[in-house]
Amino acid sequence: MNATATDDPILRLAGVGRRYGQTDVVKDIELAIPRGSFTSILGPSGCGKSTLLRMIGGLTLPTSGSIEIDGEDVTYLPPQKRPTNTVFQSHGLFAHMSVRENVAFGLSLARRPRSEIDDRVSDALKLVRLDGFENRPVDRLSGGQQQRVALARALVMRPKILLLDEPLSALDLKLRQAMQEELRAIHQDAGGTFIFVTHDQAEAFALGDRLIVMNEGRIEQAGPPGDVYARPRSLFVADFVGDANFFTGMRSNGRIDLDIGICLDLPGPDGSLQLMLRPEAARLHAAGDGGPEDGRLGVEGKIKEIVDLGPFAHCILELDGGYRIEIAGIPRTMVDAFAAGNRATASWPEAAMVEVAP
Amino acid sequence: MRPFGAILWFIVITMLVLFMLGPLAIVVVFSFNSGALVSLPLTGFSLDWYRALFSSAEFWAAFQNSLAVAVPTALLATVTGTMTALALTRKSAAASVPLLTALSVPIMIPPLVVAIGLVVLYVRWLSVPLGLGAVIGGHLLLTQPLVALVVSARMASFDRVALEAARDLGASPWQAFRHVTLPQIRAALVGAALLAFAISLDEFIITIFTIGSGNTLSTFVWGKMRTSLDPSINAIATLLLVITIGSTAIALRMTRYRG
Repeated sequence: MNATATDDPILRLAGVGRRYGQTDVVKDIELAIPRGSFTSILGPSGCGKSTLLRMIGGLTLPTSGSIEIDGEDVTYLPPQKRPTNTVFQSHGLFAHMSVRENVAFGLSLARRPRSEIDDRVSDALKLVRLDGFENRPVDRLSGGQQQRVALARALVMRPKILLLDEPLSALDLKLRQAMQEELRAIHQDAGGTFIFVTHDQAEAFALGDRLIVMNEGRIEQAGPPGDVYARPRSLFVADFVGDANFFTGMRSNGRIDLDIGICLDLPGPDGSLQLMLRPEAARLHAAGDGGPEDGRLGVEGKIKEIVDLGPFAHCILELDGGYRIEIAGIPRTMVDAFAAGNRATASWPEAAMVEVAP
Repeated sequence: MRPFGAILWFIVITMLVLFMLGPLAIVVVFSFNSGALVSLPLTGFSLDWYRALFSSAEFWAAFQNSLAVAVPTALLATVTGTMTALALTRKSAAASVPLLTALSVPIMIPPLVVAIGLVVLYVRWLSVPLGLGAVIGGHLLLTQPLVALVVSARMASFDRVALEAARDLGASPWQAFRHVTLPQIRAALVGAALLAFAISLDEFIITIFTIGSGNTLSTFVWGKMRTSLDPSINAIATLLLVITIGSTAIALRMTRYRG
């Protein structure tokens, strides 16, 4: 994200909300999407992410707030007048048309000259690697091919923003991973701004250069995926994005006493709080190997469970007070040093602990 | 296993089928019989009754009236029935099922009740003169719910996301209907129109209550029955049979109705 990108976003939402009856499905969204970015919107099902996407595309109207695309207010513009195109989860192909007719649909409606339509359709089909399939009826294609027709049908319109509503969720794992790679390549080749909605955490990280985490109709956190992972602001984000250990404690005068029996300094208001630790940020030391180096926080406990996952192992350490700590990414060469029932020490750098809002 | 039971069962079924199809067969057979009496033995093959029929001005007047009612009925019922079905598919099942049932009441209650109600409505309340227009109105009551049911059934398997995709790609609501919905439900619409046509063509009770003066084919047959047992009635009945079975068969094929 450079300065000009944030100064001149392609999409700006201000106070956008959507209410159905008494339920606010989307609440007061403030959002600016940089030009040319690939943004993933991640959240559990029912969090309002699809509704948000539909409001950007004009398929659902907001009940509050305003939406601006490229400086133009589109809040109440019908979908056919917006510079956006959508790839739907269940693709919505026109079953009575061939692949070519499907992809040419939008351009024909826009009354583009025949030669331009032919050129752009064949370019779009090349981009999704479906050249040669022009005259196939769409119901004779595989699921992955159908989804690629849907992608070509939207891309051929050269939308300012391409909206992707869980387009890969109906595909099997291998195909999904292949399509993720293709999508990244297409974003680089075709340019433009992509917004991708998913409930799959791995997919959101694999695709987006920006990540927005939503829950209960609100944006919980937005930023580069790495930042969101390393410094989640809320308990929800920490828990939904990856695995996390949570510790409760009390702070007074910038000194924190955690219930698991360790102390550290972290400025902030007095009172009870919660800290998060990613399982892979911790290291496990066998009893008698010298323990953690200076400057690291450490706790001792009994190994409750150790699971060999192949390249790495995974351990649950039970502390004396009954607290549990999950440690991930134990190198395979060290697995033999630990066995369930033995005592061991877990250690981590102070900076790996992140305060999260409840 | 149970030969006696099986044989009895076979006899009962055969008699039922004969009883149901017998009148149709009699009508068709005697329309081609040369004798003036509808009684056995058959006296020989003849097209005289058809010649007599086709040279009758009354028959042609009734035939024209029948078309003048059945064609507009089929077209109007298809338009309003389709609009009804499209509107209902936007609602949840909880809302659309009771609405569709309510709209289908005219085909579930006795036609006599509908006919009496219609006459009272036309004459006492709306001051609509009885005549072919009034008959079309009555036939719409019967055929429009049928079209709505046929089109609703087709829309149940219609991909609604495709409509959103069309809008998203630049189509107005009308263009989305014209280019996406219509091509996919066209067969169902033609089938529904033919069914409506067939029902209107042989409808009798509502017709005779609301037509005022003049005849359609069905009231013409009834009139002739009262005055004479002229076998040309059989010729009309056979014609009606061919037209209604023909259009219904085409309709069922086009709507891919399976049971």
